[in-house]
This record gives sequence, structure tokens and C-alpha cells, in this order.
Amino acid sequence: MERLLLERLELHLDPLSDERRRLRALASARALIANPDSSDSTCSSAVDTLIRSLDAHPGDPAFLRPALKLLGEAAVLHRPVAPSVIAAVRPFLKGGKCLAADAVAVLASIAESSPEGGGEGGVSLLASVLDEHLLLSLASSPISLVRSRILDLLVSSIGRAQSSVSLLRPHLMLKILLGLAVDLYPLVRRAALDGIMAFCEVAGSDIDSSIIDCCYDCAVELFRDEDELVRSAAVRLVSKCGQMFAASKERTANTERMDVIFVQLCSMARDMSMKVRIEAFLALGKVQLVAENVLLQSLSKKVLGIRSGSKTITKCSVNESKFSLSAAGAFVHGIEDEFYEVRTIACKSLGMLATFSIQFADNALNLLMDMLNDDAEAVRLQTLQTLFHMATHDRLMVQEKHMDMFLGLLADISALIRRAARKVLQLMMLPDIKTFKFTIDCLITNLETYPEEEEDIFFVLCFIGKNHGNFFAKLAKEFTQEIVPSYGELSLDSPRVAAIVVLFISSCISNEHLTCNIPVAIFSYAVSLAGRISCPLGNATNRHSLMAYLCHHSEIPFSDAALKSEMAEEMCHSWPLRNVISQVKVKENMLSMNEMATHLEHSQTDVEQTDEELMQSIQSILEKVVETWPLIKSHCSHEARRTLRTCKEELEMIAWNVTGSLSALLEFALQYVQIIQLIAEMWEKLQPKMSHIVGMITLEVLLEKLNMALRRMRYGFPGLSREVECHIIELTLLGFVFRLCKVGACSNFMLKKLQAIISRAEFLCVEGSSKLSEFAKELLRSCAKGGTGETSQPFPVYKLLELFNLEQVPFAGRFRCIKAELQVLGNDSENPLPVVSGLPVGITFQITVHNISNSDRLWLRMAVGVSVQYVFLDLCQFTGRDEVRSFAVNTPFYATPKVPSFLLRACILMECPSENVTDQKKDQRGPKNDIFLLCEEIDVYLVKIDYR
Amino acid sequence: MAIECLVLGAGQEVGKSCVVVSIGGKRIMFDCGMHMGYLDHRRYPDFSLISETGDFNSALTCIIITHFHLDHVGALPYFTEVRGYQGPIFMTYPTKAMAPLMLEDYRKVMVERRGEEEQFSHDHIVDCMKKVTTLDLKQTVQVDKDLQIRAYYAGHVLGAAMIYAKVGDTAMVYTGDYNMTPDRHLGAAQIDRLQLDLLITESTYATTIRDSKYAREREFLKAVHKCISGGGKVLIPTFALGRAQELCILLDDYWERMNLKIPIYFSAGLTIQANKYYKMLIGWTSQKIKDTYAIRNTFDFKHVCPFDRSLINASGPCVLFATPGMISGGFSLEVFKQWAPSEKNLVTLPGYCVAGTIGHKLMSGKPTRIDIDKDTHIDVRCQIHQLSFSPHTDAKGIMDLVEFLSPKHVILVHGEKPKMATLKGRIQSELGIQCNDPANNETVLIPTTQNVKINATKMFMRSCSHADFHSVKNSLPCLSDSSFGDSEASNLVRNEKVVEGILVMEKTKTAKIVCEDEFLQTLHVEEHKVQFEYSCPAEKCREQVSCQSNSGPPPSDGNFSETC
Ligand SMILES: [Zn+2]
Repeated sequence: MERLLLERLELHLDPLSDERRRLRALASARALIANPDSSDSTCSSAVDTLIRSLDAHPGDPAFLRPALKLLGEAAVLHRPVAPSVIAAVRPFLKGGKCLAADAVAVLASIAESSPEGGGEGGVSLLASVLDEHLLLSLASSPISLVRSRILDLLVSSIGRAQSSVSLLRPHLMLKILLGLAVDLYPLVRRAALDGIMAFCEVAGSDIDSSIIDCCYDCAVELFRDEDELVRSAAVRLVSKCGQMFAASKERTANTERMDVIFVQLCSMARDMSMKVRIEAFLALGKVQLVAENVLLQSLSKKVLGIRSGSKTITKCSVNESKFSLSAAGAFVHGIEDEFYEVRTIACKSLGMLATFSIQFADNALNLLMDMLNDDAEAVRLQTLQTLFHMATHDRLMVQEKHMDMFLGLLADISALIRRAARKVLQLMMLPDIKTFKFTIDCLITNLETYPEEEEDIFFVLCFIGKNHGNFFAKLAKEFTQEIVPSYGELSLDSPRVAAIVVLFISSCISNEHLTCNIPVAIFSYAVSLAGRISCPLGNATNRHSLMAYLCHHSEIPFSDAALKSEMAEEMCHSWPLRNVISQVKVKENMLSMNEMATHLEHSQTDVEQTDEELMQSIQSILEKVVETWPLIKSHCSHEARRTLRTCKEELEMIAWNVTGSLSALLEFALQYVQIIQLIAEMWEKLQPKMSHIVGMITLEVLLEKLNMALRRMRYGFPGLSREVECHIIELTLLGFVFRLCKVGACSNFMLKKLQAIISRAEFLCVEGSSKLSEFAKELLRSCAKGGTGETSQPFPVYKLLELFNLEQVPFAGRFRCIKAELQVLGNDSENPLPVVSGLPVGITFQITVHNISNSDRLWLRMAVGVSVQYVFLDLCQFTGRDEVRSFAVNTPFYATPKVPSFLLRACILMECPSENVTDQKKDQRGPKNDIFLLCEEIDVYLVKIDYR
Repeated sequence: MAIECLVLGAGQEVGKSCVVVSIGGKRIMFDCGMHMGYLDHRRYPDFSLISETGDFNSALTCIIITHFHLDHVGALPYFTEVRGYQGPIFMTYPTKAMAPLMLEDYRKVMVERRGEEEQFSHDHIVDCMKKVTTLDLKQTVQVDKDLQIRAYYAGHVLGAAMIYAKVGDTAMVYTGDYNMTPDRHLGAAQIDRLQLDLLITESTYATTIRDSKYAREREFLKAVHKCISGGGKVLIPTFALGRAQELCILLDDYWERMNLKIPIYFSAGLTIQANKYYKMLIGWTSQKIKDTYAIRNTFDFKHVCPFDRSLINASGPCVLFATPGMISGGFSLEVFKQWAPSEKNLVTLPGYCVAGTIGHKLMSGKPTRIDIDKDTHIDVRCQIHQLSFSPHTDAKGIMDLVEFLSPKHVILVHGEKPKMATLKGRIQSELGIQCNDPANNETVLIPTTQNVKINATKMFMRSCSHADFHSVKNSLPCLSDSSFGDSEASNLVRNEKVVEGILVMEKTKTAKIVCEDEFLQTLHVEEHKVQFEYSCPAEKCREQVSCQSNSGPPPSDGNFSETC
């Protein structure tokens, strides 16, 4: 069939055959080439025939034009024929009007396509054929189509050129781009601007500032272009130039220029075209290093007096009054724009700029609060996200007048809006006691209207309670009277009572001194609520310790007495007086704030953010995490913990947008932040002068948490690079040193384990490029000195700690994340499973595991009080080898206690691959090696059968 | 050529907008409004200034009406039917639909309520409207051989337009009333960058700078919500067109979001009919309404219920829209009498009330008792909320528009004298644009630049349209890429595009610009080449070489040799 077609093709393409036949022949050639089943030889001979026919029909555009187009497609589909196509097309570049344009289009499509499975890139293929002279003459072609297509070609060559190959020397490239940016045709101008943009992007930071100047000047000229798309492209380019100015070495010298750019962008924000306005507001959000007075001007339509201190404006060539006039109220206009797209972006940019200046944030807040009444849901949602963003950056200072509008949103018809509003409320510092009370009332009304959102509302109440202990203390009596009737039962069915109990508990946990004023009764009421409130409180603690805490205070005997005091202790320690917002306001001056914002810039989430950008922002957050190390080391733990918390919140914010491949990285980052948080906490506890016994219990708990988390890091992310593993091992070693610190001496078992880990580190270092750190070396030396057996010589712990230094996490390559989800369907406190006490009970768990291989050893752990039961999960039994496997496991639990009802805690564990050092004391029926959790512990409610 | 601008109305005042502009022999009347504050001859523009003989048909090329407000269209039936203008009249579709409603309503009030002698009859209105040609947005209309007009979206009210007019090379824009910020049911004014000799703009708020509309909306919603949640009734007396729809959209949306179930009523009459038009003219509304129109027409208000009189005294909270806006009589007065005595109720007032109306009395201080006539008086105990919604742009918006269009000259109309003077000063000093604020019946003469048209050959056009990068390359032969990055090198990258050509002026023909290459051909002469023997001293020789290196043939034949 193919041969037949080929022969006919040959015949019909004969110059003597009539025109219709030739066109039909082209159609069949297209079919041959486009058919994925055609063999390579067929394709290449079809292409050869076509190329020959080109020569046979000189000066017949009706045939040549489709033929050229077809050749271009062929070269893209079948890369091997590309060189001959390029050679065949080249003569046409000098040809007549349309043919030249078509020929350039063919080359452009080749440049744009990347060959499958490696091989020579399109650009390098072209580079061998196109010389500078030819390109220049094409760029100065009198035919606009040729110019626009040669631009396409150049732009794709900029984007794709490997460092070695380029079609043009940079200065000629820029010359052409700048020249065509003032072309007569808007299409060409726009393509040229996009080209300059690509040029700047590729050149990156090592571009000369005078070249940025040229690009910037060129773009500003085009601000008054009559074509809206050209204006949009110009705005993008100016924004890019602004970012490059800000990033350049002479950044401080550029501040005046940044002011000018900001004002120019503001004036574009008043453009009549919606597209231009969108670009302008996007660009405004990215500007940095702008003087505060200029920023403030963009929030006020009235021209503000320019403060005497700043000479910046007079020095600029721009007329002073015109300068302020064009900046005036850009955002006021932006937020009442006709198009919700513009409003959304203006709102987002407001949030970004708010991180630079407290004054700006305050003024912007007035505008933002008004936007909560916007008629577009997208805008209201973005406004709430902006507020959230400001709150995480300590820039949210609400006043009483705002609250009315804001709390109105709790009654919004959209669940999404209500949820987002509560999320902001969590972080809000309420200005006074009146507002506090009003807010509480609103939340209670909210709870009454939307009982299905109870969890979320309790969550907010918890945060408000712990952040406003002082307000609560003043109202405690009032609240008590309200909910505790002088005699008789308290009805927890009333949402109002439940909400107030939640408030009580949360503010007590974080403000220990309040506890004594609170009637014991409230704690005992809270016990029955524990199931509903542990989740909201769960940020720092788990259900179990909450129960212990409540029982402790309500003087109810708790089953697990040993655990009780310890847990209660832990509760208080993990809930220090961390008022999320009430921290001392940052007093940095403008410039250093701006510097900080350079980091923050990366962390801003963006709806259109690509994976690449998200990865960068995660990375920059991790960098910020590592930068807290000097603070931790110098015992400025308060400051460090604040930063870490912000990092964590930012990561959580990013998590809103993350799907797919990045979730592993995000999970990793979250774990990492948690580990550093734990280390920071321990470091603080280890201050030599402050050694006290009470802390020891907590330290033990912290150490166990740390080890668990580190194991998760090491084994829960297959595909991690050696460098990262080394990094984690260093941290694990640090954990050991902490333990030594506590114990003072080193047991035989620990020593063995330590040596095993160090040898693994050495192995990694030998294989890879990294070196053992000083810290690890010293530790190794001390181990060797200690020799075998119980060491008599204490470890030089403090010296070791001094040596430890946290390095940046070196990321490379992709890795996966092992995790699991565990569920018991249809089980909650209202619907417990029936049990006959003393007999085993069968429980069906729904399990979903991610990225588990059959060699991994997974366990299901079930615990009631002190009795623990392990079930091995044989993965081979469960079908599917995909990344995600779901299955159900029905397993009996034997040790059912003889109580009316009880709680079973279950979780999925993974065993660490053996390190040949096992602790013989471990329970023989359970995992032999160290384990780590793959999911949060879940609760299973059980009830004795005759109690139902 | 100059533009002559005769201001017949709205000069240093608000009311009876009417400007007659003469450009290039054409005479256009922009708007033909009446002044609502006068009942004597001052009510109408002094049309005799246009033509002493009263032959308006030859004196005017056309009339263009910007929108349906009476101070812009009120005098039209009088002018056409009574004074006899028969020429073309232009207005947008919605204006043509709505203007008769307005005129008819006004006529009824005048004749039936006040018992005045009628200025024009119902038939006059109908006949007048028959003469109207409709305009669409951004559609260029060739009124006659020389005059082009085009309408741009102006916001303000449904169908309001700004008018661009061009005769020859002279162009101008008359804005009518406009709004640079969108509201719930209308978009913001929108216009292209135009080359203008003159901009005539309204200046109602010449010195006011308004803050965001959200604040005004919030205050209104807060007041209404507070009242109804206290079980009160809200009376919103409004004008039937424009504000009524705006407020109703606002409430309807709020009701929807806050899940409120309290009924909203629309009193019958004009409003119902107007809503019908609004529903049909979706293309002229705001983006949001256009976007959601396919799913639900915003003007099909979800929470608006049919009203009947018996509901006035029904118990429970409600919201009622009633005309007229200033409680000067009619239904809004009837309801006001019933509801004003209860402190639970709320009455909103429009931003502006004419003296003598109840609205005006309520605005000035908080009276507890209002006497309607000798026998009837009302105890006012209800709450009063004054609205501050305005469909006019503020000073910032005017400045923005003037700056955007950057015309050579600005004339301010439709404003208050002292405020206009302030704005005029700002336009002149801050934007450097000539500005006038003429009083009524004054004429302003504006000089325009005279352009001489020349032809250009195709080849010349082509040479303008693209840059020749070869010249660049040749001029930088030794620039290597290692030196690229020096500021010196990059300065060369700066664009200076020079196009060279030769202007040829022949006696009878239009002047023409040609390329060097075409020049000889144009003159029908042959090219002569002059060659030289080099027999002069060395330094002169160098001079010669530099002459030759100026590539291309000599610019003109013959006399080149003599300069050397
Ligand atoms: Zn008007």
C-alpha cells in the first residue's frame, strides 16, 4: 500500500501533470508522512520526492507554498529528514514574498521542535545552515510576514539554545530585537518584545546593566503604543527589567529608578485595555525596593505631599506633580475595576507589597476590608487569601471598624469563603475586648447556622482562645455563669455551651495561670468533648495527651496513670505562650525589610505557578529554615521558632496548590521544618546553666519524636540523593549527641548503633563527592576513644554541639514519598463498633499506601491503653503495583478490655531496613527494627455490646 | 482652520447641556437639554444664537444626544417640533428607547400635576423620535462627505456615550456625562487613544476626589441590614432609571450571599417598564452582567416580589423601592407618611434633593415633624440614610481622561463655576494643556494646526516600515562579543531610526516624498556619473575618499561635482 502510494506520488508530482493532480498528490504525501505507521524509509522517500518536485516547479507559488508547509511538518515529525528539508528550503529564503515567509516558517517550526530521545536540537541544525548575514537580511526584509516569522525563529532559538549553539551573537540578536520593537506592524513589535524578554531571561543575572537600560527604555517607549497587546508585552518587559535592576549589584543605587518604574506601572494600571491592566497589576506585585511614600501614593487618589526627606523624586526627570498624579490611587482604581480578573490580581499584588511596609499594610487593609463585599466570589476569596498572607507576615493589624464587614463573611453563602474567612480569623489579633466578645458571638451564631462546619469553627475558637488569653481571663467569669447552671446538668448539645467550653480549654492550655480560676466542672465537661476538640487542638498535641490533660485537671482517674502526668507536662510545654501575631513588631527599616522580601517573593503562591516555581519557593523556604541555625545556636530560640513557624505556615499555604509530583518535596520540607523545630526546642533545653530535672521527661519525649521524624526522612523518601542522605545522617548523629547529653554516658548498644550510622555516612562520602563534616569526624574520634564496653570517659558533648553546623539541604533529582492513609469506615464517636468484652473484635481498616515496594515491611499497630498488638501487612497479597494501592484489611484485636467503652488507636508503621544492630529487648511479635509512622494515629471507637 | 465653540447651556452651571461646535464648515449641536430649575425662558437654550432667521436646517449639520437625562435631551422635541429643526439627529439605541419615557413622564408631571401650559405634546415626542438615527458603540458614521462621528462607552447611565467627531484633520470629543469607575450595572467609560484638537468634558465633580465605591456600598448595606434585622421597613425613594437598578442589584446580590429572606418590592409604573429595557440592552451593561447573562439575567431580580398596596401596612420587615426619588409626591410620599413615624424604619435619600421637596427637608437637619400642608403633618421618627452614589466621574477621573487623551485644548462644561476654575488651573499647570470654562452663550475660538497632505511612494513607505540591520553590522565591524557588555558598545544598540527621502513639489500636483532610488526616475532624467582624476595633494585625496564612501548614488545629479 505504501509503495503504491509512493509510486503514484512520484507520478503525479511530475511537472507535466495538471495542477489538480499535483495538489492531490500533496494530500497523499501528507497522509503518508502524518501516518504514524508509515515506515521511516517511506517517509524519507516521500520527502525526497517532494524536494525534487520543488525544483521542478519554479515560480509556481500555488504548488510551492503547500509543498513547503508539508516539508516543514515532515521535518518536525521525522527528525532524520530535517537536514535535507533545511537544505531544500534554504534557497527559498531569498525568494518572492510569500515563499520566503513560508520558508522561514518551516525553519521556525524546526527550531521550535525538540527531537525525540535526544539528538541534535533544531537550533543547532539551523545554526549550520543559517549565517548571520542571511539572518540579518531576513530581519530587514520588506515583507512583514518574513520579519514576524524570523522573530519566531529567533525567539525559539533563544529559548532552546544550548549554551554552545546560538544563531547570532548576542549583540546582533539584541540589535535585531530592539530594531523590530519599533516596527510598523504591531504583530512584529509584540513578537520582538517577547523576544527581548526571552533574551533577558536567558541572559539571567550576568547581563550588563546598560543593556537592561536599553531594553527598559525600549519598553517604556512602547507604553503609549496604540496596540493593547504591544502595551501588555511592554509592561511585562518593564517588570522584568525592574526585577533585574533590583537583583543587580548596584541595587541600592537603583532605588530611585525603582520608584520611577513603580509609578510608570501605576500609570499603566489606568490603561483603557483590560489586558494591559492585568499585566500592570501583576507587575506591580513584583516590584521591590520602592520608597514607602511612593507606595502609599498608590493607595490614595489624593496627591499626598511628598515628604521633605526624600529628594528622590525631584532628581528624576519626571515632572513632580505628574509623577504623583500617575501613581495616585492606582490600587483604588484596581480594586473597583470592572473586570474581576483585574480586581483579583490587584488584590493579590496589594498583599505582596504589604510585606514591605507596615504603613502600607495598614492603609491597604482599609481597601481590602471593603473588597470583602465584592460581588465576585473569586475576588472575595483572593481578598481573604491576601489577608491570610499578610497575617503570616505579621502585617495584619485589624481595627474595630473592620470587624463588622469581616465577620459578615462568616455568613457568606459560599462554604469556600466561610472557610477562608475562618482561616484568617485564626491568625488575627483582635484589637480589644469588645471585638473579642463580638467575634465569639459571631462564631457561635455561625456554629448554630452551619453545624456541619463544627470542626472548623472549633478550630478557630481554639486559636482565638489561646491567642487572647488576657481578654478571655477578663470574661471568664461571665462565660462561666452563662454555661454552668447553679445546679443540674450542663447541656453539651447546645452549640453555644460547646463553643464556650472549647474556648475555656484552649485558653487554659496556653495560659496555665488561668487554670486555677476555672471550675473543675468545665474540665470534666470537656472530657466528653475531647473527641470533637482534639483535632482542632491537635496542632501541637494529640488526642491522647489532651485526654490526659483534661483528666488531670478534672480529677477523673485516667486509665494510663503513668502516662498521665508526663503527657500533661508535655501539653504545657508544647503550648508555650505563642501568640501568633502579638509578637514584637519588626522594627527593621525599609531597606532590610525589602531584602527580607526578596525571599518572601519566592514563597508567594500563585495560581498559575508552575511546578518549577513551586519547587523554587519550597527550596527558598528551606533555605530560610537553615538560616535560623545561627539564631538557634545563639539561644535566640524565640526568634528562630517564630521564623520556623512562618516557614511552616508558608509551606502549608503552598500545599493548597500542590498536586502530583511536588507533594513529595512538600512533605519532605514539612518534615524537615518539624525536625529543625524539635532541634531548636531541645537546644534551648540543653543550655548548661539551666539543667533541671523537670525538663528531662520532656526531653525524652522530644528525642523520641525527633528520632521518629528522622527515620521517616531517611527511609520514607526513596530516591533521595546521597547528599541529602548525608545531611539527614548528620542530623541523626546530632540526635545521638542530644541523647548523650541527657544520659551523660553511652551504652554499648547505643555505641554500636552510632558506629553503624557513622560508617554508613563514611560509605556515602567515599562514593559521593561530599566530605564528612568536622562534627562527624570528631564524633567518630570520640567513639573510637571510648572503645568498646561501657565508656568511662564522658563524651565531649558540648564541644561536639559547638562543632555542629547546619548546612543547606542539597536537592537534586526527583524522589518519592512513602505515605499511607488509614480509615475505619463509618466509625466515629456516635457510631462505635460493638464489642463483647474479653473476646476478640474484628475491625476492617481501609488502607491506602503510596510508593510502597513489595520489599518494604509494613505493620499495623493497634493499641488500647498499654496493650499493643502488631499485624504484619504482607504487601504481596494486595493487588496492584502502582504508586498508589488501596485495600481493606480485616483483622482481629484480641485484648479487649472489660470496660463499657474504649478507644483503640491505630496506625501504619514501616520498619527501617535492617542496620544489623537490633535491640533485643524489643517485643518479639512486633517489628524487629526501628520503625516510623506512615500516617497520623487514628481513633477507633468501640463499645461493649450490651451498652448499646 | 479653527474650531468655534458656542456654549448654549451648561456653561459654568449644571443643566440644559447644549454646545454648538463648528469645525471645518460643519456645525454640530451636542445635546439639547432643558434646565429643571427654571420655568421661564431660561429653561431652554437660547436657540436664536444659532440662527437669527430661525433656519436651523441650514445652520446645523446634525444634533447628537449623549444620553437620556432630561438635562441632555429635554429640549429636543421642542427644538424639532416647535422650532422646526428637521435635520439629522443621532443617539444610541438605549437612549432612543429610554428618552421618550423620560420626556413623557416629564410632560405629564408638568401638565397634569402642576397644570402648566405644555411645551410639547405627546405627539411631538413621538414625531421627534421618528427623526432619530441610532448609533452603535465604536461604529464610525459618515454623516456627510466630510463629517465622521463615532460613539464610545461612557458609563453614567444605560446607553450614555462620548462622541468623537472628525472633519478633515480636525478632531474633537464631546464627553457628555461619564463615569470613569464602573458600578454594579454599568461599566467604566472607555475610549481609544485619539489625536484630538479639542476635548469638551463635563466637570460636575471638578474638585471632589471620591474614595472607593465599596465604602459607600458598605454603609448602605449596613444601614439596610441593621434596619431589617431589627424588624423595620426600608423605604428607598429613587428615580426610576439607573439608581433604582443599581441599588436593587446591590441588594439582590447581598440578599443572595447572606441568605436573607426578607422581601424586596418595586413599586409599579415606570420602573417595571425600565427594567424591561434593561433586560434587553444587556450589551450596554457592566462586564459582570454580560458574563452572567447567559445563566441568569441580573435584572430578573431573584428576591424582588410583586408589590401591591395592601402590603404597605403588612407586618414584618421589607424593602421598598418607590418613585419619585425626592419624595416630592406620588407613591414614595404615600408610603413615607405611613412609615416615617416608626423609629424602627429607615428611609434612604438620594445624594441630591431639590429645595422644597421633603427629601430636601429631611437632608437639612433631622426634623421631627414635617408639615405637608395646613392640615397634614408627619411625625418623623424613622432613621435617615443619605446615599452618596453618583454616576459622574470625580476630579481624578477627569484628569485621568484628559491625560489619556492629551488633546491640544480642553473646554469644561456642566459644573459649578468656582470649582471649574480650580480644575481649569490644574489642567493647565499639571498637564500643560490649554483650558477654557466659558459661561452660557459665550463662544470660544480654538486654533487648530494646519496639516499639509503629501503623497508618498510605495517604495518610500516600505523603506520606513523596516530597519536595515546590515547597515548596523557594517558600522560595527570590529565589535566583538567580548566587548559586548561595555556601556559604550551597548549604547550603539540604542535605536535611532532615520528615514531619508526627497520631497518633490511640482506646480499642480500634491507634494510627494520619494526614495533616493526613485528620484531620477521621477524627474525623468538620466543618471550621470562624474569621475575624477586624482592629481591633487594627499590630504585632499583623503577628503575625496570620504566623499566616495558615502554609499549610494549622489542625491541629485549635476551639482555634486562642484562641491568637491
Ligand atoms: Zn446625566
